[in-house]
Amino acid sequence: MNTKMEEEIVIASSSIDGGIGCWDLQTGTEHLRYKSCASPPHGLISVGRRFLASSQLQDPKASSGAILYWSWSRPQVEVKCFPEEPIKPLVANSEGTYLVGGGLSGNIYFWEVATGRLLKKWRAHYRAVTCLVFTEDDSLLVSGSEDGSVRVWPLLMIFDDYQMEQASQLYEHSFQEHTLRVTDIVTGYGGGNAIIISASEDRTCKVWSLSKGILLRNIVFPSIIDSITLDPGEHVFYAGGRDGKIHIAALGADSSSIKSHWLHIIGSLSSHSKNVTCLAYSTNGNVLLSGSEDGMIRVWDPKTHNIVRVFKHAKGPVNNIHVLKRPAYLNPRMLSNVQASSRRHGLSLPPPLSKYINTMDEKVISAVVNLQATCNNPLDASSISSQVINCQIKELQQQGSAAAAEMEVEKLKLDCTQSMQMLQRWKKTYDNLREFCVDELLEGGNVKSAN
Amino acid sequence: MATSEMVIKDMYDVGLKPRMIRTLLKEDVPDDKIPFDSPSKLSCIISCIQSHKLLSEPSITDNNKQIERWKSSVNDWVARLLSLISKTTTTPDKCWAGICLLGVTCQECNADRFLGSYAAWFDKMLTHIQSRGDSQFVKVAACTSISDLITRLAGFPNVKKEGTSLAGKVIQPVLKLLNEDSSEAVLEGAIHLLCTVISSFPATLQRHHESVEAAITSKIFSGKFSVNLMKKLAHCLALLPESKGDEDSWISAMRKVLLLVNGYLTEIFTGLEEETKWDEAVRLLVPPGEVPPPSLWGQKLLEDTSDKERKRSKLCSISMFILSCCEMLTNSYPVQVSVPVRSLLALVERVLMVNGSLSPTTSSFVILAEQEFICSELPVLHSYAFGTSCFQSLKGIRSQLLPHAAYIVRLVKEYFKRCELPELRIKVYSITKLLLMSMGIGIAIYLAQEVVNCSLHDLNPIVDGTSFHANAKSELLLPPFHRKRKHGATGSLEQLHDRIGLEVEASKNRPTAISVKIAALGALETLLTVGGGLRSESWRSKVDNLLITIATESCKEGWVSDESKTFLPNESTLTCSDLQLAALHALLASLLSPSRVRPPHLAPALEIFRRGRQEIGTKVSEFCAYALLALEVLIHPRALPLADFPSASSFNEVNHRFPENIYSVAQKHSNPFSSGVQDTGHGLSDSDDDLYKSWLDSSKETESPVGESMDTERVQQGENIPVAGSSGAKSPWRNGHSPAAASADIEIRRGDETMVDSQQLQESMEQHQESSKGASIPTVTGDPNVTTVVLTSFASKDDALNSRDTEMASLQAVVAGESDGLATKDGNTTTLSAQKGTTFAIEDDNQSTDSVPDIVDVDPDSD
Repeated sequence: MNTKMEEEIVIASSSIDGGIGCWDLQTGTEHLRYKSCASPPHGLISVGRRFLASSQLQDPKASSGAILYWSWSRPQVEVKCFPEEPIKPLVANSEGTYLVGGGLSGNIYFWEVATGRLLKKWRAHYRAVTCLVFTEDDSLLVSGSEDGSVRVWPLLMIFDDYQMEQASQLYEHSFQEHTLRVTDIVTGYGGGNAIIISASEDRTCKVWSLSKGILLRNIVFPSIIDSITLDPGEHVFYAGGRDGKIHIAALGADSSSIKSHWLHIIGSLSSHSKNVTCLAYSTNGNVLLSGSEDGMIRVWDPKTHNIVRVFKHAKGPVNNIHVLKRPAYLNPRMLSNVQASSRRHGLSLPPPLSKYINTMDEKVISAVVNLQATCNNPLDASSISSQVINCQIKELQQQGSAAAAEMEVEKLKLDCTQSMQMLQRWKKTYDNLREFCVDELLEGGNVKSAN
Repeated sequence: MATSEMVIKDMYDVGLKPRMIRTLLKEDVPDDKIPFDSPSKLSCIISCIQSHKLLSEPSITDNNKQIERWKSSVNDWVARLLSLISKTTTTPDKCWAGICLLGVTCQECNADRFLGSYAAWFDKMLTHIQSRGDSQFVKVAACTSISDLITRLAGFPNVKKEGTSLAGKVIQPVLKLLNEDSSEAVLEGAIHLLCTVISSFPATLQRHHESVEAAITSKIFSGKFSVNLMKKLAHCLALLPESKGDEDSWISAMRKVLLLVNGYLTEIFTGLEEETKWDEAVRLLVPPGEVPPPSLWGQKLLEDTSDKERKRSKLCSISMFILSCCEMLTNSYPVQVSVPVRSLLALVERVLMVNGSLSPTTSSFVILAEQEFICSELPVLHSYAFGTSCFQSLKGIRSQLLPHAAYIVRLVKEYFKRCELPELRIKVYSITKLLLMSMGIGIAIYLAQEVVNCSLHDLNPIVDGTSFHANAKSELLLPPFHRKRKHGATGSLEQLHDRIGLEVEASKNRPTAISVKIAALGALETLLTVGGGLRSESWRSKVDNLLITIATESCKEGWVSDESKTFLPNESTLTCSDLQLAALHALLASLLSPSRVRPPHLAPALEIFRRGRQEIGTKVSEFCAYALLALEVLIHPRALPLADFPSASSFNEVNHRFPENIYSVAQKHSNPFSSGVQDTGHGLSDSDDDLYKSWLDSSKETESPVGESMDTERVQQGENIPVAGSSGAKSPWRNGHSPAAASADIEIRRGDETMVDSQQLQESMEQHQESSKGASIPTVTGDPNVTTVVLTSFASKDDALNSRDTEMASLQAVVAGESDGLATKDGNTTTLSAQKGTTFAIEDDNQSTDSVPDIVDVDPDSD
């Protein structure tokens, strides 16, 4: 076991109800299986690592959607939300304060997790939203749609009613080059200078520049790509295809030296399985995870192209995988403890998401905030007595202040009383002595006179 | 007498410690007989104990006898202190010394001893807080020593119960101290003790919550204490809800404070703002259906006074209550709470928007004197409102601020326009920094223009760039510039100028203060860090130019050493050396921040950093060394894969050659411009290092015929165009890129299947040729399809990923390296590119007017 790194877990869900599987990536042991979840692609998320949320596949005729919450400690669904329409992709910002869902109609819904309020809803695409991602700093949202468009939304703009009236459109960029449904989007590192990669059913992946809003590279694949993930160094990206292969496409890597029939594609990982439906990358162990239509999750070593581990999830296709840092509440030994304390610390699950924007509190007037200290180190409390002592010493030395004078007076008073006592004692001694002398004299006199 | 044990080995000898304690007891620590003539003796004793860890008594050592001896001497030490404290015959100064030393002992002694005797010590000290007759010094010392004792006690998890009961005993005496008319020093001690109790054992205060709250607020209302003490009171008030620890008490405390501040402001701002503000505040704070309480903590919320003193004290307590509410937002709290963000922000806006001018609806009953009074106090109020409230709410609320971000941005923008006083400007800059950091690229788009405008104004080197050394000339240059600024200001600002003479004076007759400049540089640095790449075309070159000018200017006269600071009385004074450092920080950000062109001022900047590094031992040199390290990647771009997968086989080889490789690579880095580029020598197997490989490849590429060398030509065109053509174009690099970008666009639009493209590409290339009569004809025709595709791919990469692109690096290396093979081609391309340059320059003009290429404008949504 690698003790230096934080332990990571894998969560996965399927389009057929097989629940949400949860494994330890390092050891391979399975944790709880969270029940009754049939999620669409991009529909499973962990909200700020506090709990799990997933949108649900619905009967196409269903009038409302469903989003379910699971806490880490219990397998049952704990909170059920019913949004206005079926929601497919679901995403949360990294702090877990907001939840964003993309609707079948092309609307995007923006909820506040802590209160469940629907803060905003806006028309984003002509047809259903298929994927949603936040950029690195959580300030931009990128959405892809069935109509092939990819749009970048500055969240600040979404909340700025004043600007919204003036601007002709809300989005920062709108990329229209895909001809068919967008299947996956990832964003890279680098804030405003990041790249966005989108995959589509038109058998291409396109690399976009966020800062310039232009297409940087177009890569054609031998099959439709359903999922992509970035190498953390952005050297290459991995694209899982319907041909069962994971293609490796060059970004920063040198592709000219590799003789390939396909431009920019420099290799592939293959297990001769069914469609690769989802991908994830674990930075901890530097391994690539792929979910397949055959219900298996394979863990690859990208260096050697070997499979290092396999998790069996379900019979049905796996369509969501995430790699997470292990949440503290997952530890079975701590479970009972946690449940007791979770109520106290406000870790219990938030209320369900509301269906409509509440016109009463249309202006958000408060924010539910967790003010708990991130690091609770009691040793931080510093002692101050030496400081105070130094101040006092200074004051005493200057002898200017009233307090110092007071103390001096007190001291003198005590000296005085002591001197008085001393005086008394001397006086007493003197009296005694005198008495003695007088007595002696008198006695002597008496003796003399007697003589 | 001199046994072998008494010989001391060195200053770390364990045997030394008990002897030192004995000596201290014999000579220094006062006693009935030993006089205590100078208080400075006390600090000698304390420093001796702390530096030698005299009271730390370890539990395990080889030599048990020595431990015994140590233990007994510490026993003596404690006994002496206790006797000093408890005897009634000791003089107050000796008693004071005893309490102080016991406080130090609480921190320094080992855990066993502390746990064994803390209760006894506590009782002894508590009597001195309670007794009436004791001197103030003794009381203060007792308060601080007890608070240290409680702090330490809170560190032991298994004595929570005892601690709580112990801390409970403190509350009553402390309350008495607070309610009596104690002196400031005693109050401070008492407040500190109270804070310690609340944060260590919050449960103890539950029953006394109301009385403590009343005591503290009455002190704040009285407003007759020093600022320092007032701040402590505010801090304590902010801690109070923790004693209950539930959501409701936090919210009600927050609501009370906000109501009170709003009520006071209503009275103070009469006639200076619209009269609806109070109702608005109440609407946001009080739940519908309830009425606001008429008074809080015995103070009426709304009252009319024209008494100046009363107003002054109200202003003071407003500042303190704002401070307290900010502390509440940043202190940790056991449960999650809902913060009234909206009314906090409304309050901030309310304060900031009052600028001392009379509101148009007011009749003239507000007398002039009153207005003058408000104006004189406004800056302090503004700085409290801004410097604290905005800040704290940002820090505590984090991403939850998103729905309010646009509001804050507008507030900051508005205030940027009005604000003239240096300290307020500094505050605005630091808030801008915070906003940029917390909300990233999204907010950078909004704020960039404002930050750039303001910092350009504050930093303008033409006006007062030479004023580091108080140049008189700068003053001559100032007036016209200022008129220009005034011209741009709004009408209300003009009014402001007339009304508040104070503010105008501050900025008119002096060049911008160093501290403001530093703040402006900091804001620019953050802007470049966060949002240097996105939509920055309009301001980027201006800022880059400004920053290099400032850095050169500020470093022109050599480096100011940090040491000159030590002679200044106030440590916080900002000096020229701070300005230099800030300028260097901002310069580095401007070089590293992504942009479309290579940093134009790289060479002079490197020169500055190199010179700066030589000032060893200063902050400047530290930073310059860091800057040079960071810039190294800019000069030798590389993208190393995490999983090193193209060359997994060479792993072992690399491994055992490792040291050698490091050497060779390092050598290369240190002199990149030497002519020995192709003299590669050893270390060929290091294929992981793309940079290194690219250097090696360069020699191959020049020899290899058509395919790859074509790319070098293209890059060369890019490099040569600015030299040859580009008569009117402003940014030469863009010339080189625009044809590339154009061709990439064409290729992309033509469709998704690359293989189909070859023919179309030919066409596209021909289009280019038509306009350029260009160099690429022979290469395109003479080559199979594959290479033309490579060409376009390069073109697009060249445009966008260029800092990351390794091939790019290699090509540049070739250019820099002046290899023989290239020299001949050079001749070809330069002549051609001269023509190209002119044609493309026109194209460039078209493009640069609209910085975002037209792909984006194709927009089915807009209609």
